[in-house]
Amino acid sequence: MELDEAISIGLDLGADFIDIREQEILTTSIEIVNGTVRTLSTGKKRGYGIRSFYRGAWGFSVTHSKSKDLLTRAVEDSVRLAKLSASLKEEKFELEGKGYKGKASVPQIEPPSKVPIEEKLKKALELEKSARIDERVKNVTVRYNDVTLYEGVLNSFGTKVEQEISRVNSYVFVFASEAGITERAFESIGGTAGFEILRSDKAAIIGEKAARRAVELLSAKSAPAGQYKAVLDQKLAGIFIHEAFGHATEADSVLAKMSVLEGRIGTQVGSKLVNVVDDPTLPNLYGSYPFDDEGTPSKKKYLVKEGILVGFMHSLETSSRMGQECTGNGRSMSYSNPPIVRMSNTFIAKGDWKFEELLEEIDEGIYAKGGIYGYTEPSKGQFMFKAEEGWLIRKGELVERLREVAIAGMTLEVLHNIDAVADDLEMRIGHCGKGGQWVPTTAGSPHIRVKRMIFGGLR
Amino acid sequence: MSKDELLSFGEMAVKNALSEGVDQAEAFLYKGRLLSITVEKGEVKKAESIVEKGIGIRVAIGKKIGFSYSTEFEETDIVARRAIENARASPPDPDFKSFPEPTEPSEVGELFDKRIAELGVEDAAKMIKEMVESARVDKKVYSIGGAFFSAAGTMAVINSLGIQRADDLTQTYIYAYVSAKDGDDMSAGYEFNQGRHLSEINPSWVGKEAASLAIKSLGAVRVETGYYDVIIDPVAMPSFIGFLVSSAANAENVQYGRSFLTGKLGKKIGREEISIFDDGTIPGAYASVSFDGEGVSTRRTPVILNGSLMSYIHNSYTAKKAGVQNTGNASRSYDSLPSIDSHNVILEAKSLEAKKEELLDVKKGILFKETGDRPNLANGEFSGLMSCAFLIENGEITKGLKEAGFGINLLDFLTKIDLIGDEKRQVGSTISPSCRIRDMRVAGK
Repeated sequence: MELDEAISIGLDLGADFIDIREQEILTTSIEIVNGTVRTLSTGKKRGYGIRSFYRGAWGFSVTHSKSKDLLTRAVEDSVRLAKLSASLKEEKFELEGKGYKGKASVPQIEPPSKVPIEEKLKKALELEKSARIDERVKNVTVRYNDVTLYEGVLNSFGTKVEQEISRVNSYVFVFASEAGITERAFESIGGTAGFEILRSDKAAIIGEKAARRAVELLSAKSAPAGQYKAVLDQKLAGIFIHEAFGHATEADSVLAKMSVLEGRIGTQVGSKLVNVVDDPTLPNLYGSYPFDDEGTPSKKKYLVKEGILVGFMHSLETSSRMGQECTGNGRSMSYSNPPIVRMSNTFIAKGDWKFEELLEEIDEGIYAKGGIYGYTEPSKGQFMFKAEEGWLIRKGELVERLREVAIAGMTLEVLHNIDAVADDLEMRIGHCGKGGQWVPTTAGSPHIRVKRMIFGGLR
Repeated sequence: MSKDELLSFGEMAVKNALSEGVDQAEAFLYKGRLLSITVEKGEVKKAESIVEKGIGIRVAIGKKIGFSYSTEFEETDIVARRAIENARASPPDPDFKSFPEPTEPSEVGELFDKRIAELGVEDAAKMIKEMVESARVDKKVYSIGGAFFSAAGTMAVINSLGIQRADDLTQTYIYAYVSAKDGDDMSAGYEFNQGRHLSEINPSWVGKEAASLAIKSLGAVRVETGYYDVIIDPVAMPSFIGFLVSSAANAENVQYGRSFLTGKLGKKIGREEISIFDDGTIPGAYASVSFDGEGVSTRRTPVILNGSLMSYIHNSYTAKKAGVQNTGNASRSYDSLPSIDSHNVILEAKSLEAKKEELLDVKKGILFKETGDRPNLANGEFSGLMSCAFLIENGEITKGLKEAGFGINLLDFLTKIDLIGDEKRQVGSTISPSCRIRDMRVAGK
């Protein structure tokens, strides 16, 4: 059955709005551990996600077939679930939006689906070798993944959008040990592009970089606990701005009263040095896309300008409910999940300090680097991150290497306490989880300095 | 789709692969339905009904392994061919011996609840309404979020060595996330129920408890940095003993030297009174299954017995590589190769059991309910933030804590437990009582 026809069936059944996402997802994954290929996998998923809206509530169903029988049943299910949800809901609202038409594909020099598996394997094996810098490197794991996504989005506003997106990523994890101590480090590379990403100079060094850090951490000390003046590197500050702040600017969390930023548009949420941007239009970055999964064209937006909160990120639902423009941030993991408000490439814009200048004025402090993971308590505006490593700063000098440090704080306090932003913006790939859905993103920042921050260490 | 239908697709896939000349073949299949209802600000926001299905085919040509998957059962011949192409492209894995041989079939009962399989979305909606209404206990309750999930599905594994297993499984889960507000002060509380049977879900308890936690957390303070007696609630235990078994005692992590438990087999690593088991055979338990992701019967494995590390957890690859008994811990979905994961992880220390009041009887302590953190696999160091914690003063829980950082090594944790509660609770895969730890480093102001 044609998808147009399915949309009509949904409207005939009484839905106020209906959309259908058709996706075919082709994947390759390779895992190499200590030189042995443990995974060589290719796969295909195909399915249809059908979302209906009725008087302020949603229904969602998934089917794997376009046959008249199964697709009609899935549309009926979706509309029935929307109506049931609506019957339990007092707050009503209308969905408003425009219809978009278009076709797009991500620029790629070497489409992953055209590159032979042997070639991918060769690259991954090279990365594995490059991490073998000395005998203290005990375990090296390399992962390579590519995804090619063909997506069509149709909705009852008249949207009819098709896009082809390919993404490639690679990770190197290194465990080093000596004298009973084991340390680990990882590096990654990736983008919304073709296999050419792995042929870049930047990609060629990730193995060695991870290995060097793991080895150097062997002589690191446990981090101290307590409150310190801090410098965060690009990776950690990027994680901070994504996790602790970015999620609070997702309008669905504002509407759910789970954001500390509720009611703060136009107010000072950080120091004047802070500018925060979400931009899915940047070429080749891992969180980039031409259209979001609701078919809205993507665009660049400022979230914070000179410390003032200027906007939230929106999907069709949140822009309708808040009477603001849809920003094209409705994303989903696959056809099996309905789109929700998500970030793309989110970063603190660069300032004009030099990294060395950030350190100069610190009598005693901690330079925290990298990130293993992080999480937040959105309604409290509280966060916790695990940094990969750190340095003790004394009188402007990095004097002692620290292993894994935990940092914690209140998001807005930290943003206000940023007293210097360097000029060395860098972006890192990530997979952001929310509501059980993982989507590709990048997070970035220059080095930043924070007046005080809580460190949770072992000493 | 019945077990027999899934098995017949699987058999076809294995037959297809063998006819192309591979030495061994295996198919893993799943088909299920997931139902969910999500609540936001105290109102139903969306309802979902999702069919999930797929087949994964693994083949071996000598020591070369290839894998492929698809959501289309009808394309098993194409999937098998792609798996074979991948095997041909792959260099041999010197540690691979064979896919698993059939084991004594065992039937762990009560893993399927017909009520969940037949659950209508209207019934689910009733439960979620009950949860929300029960959370409105106080004017200070600001917002109620949460969700109900249920899944019913059939999993099947077939291989060319004679394994042929299929089972129906159900799971359900409900949670409430309640925020409370008093002036500018905000706090949150989280509570949940989980199970393989609908009868394990008590929506009104979940709502009431989450709200009560949020209200108790209002007016939270920063704790003085220092050493405290810390009582770890069962809700935080997955980060301790759950991690210890699923990640640190994971044979793959051990064999690759990634885990701090590498080389410690047979050694004393905890108090003599303490034993920790991995057990997939408890009837009706959340993390029980009759057979693992490779079709091998599950068992009860003593991981730590009387303080000594007795066993790692294995799938067929790591067990054959180490030349030991497979513990049946292959974890799997149709789109991935088998990895290793725990089943139910159970802490037992009969002689350390005490009543709740005894546990709380400390001069200066902390009740540690939740953390999103996990330990460092390489060295066992575990530092992070308590996302829900309370101060205990002279045996009484007095106030909520914010931004309390903690630090302990998992090996010290096993030696510093001085008492455990007399009531166990299952949280995810972990089945544990509360544990009291003497002198744990906590950082605040």
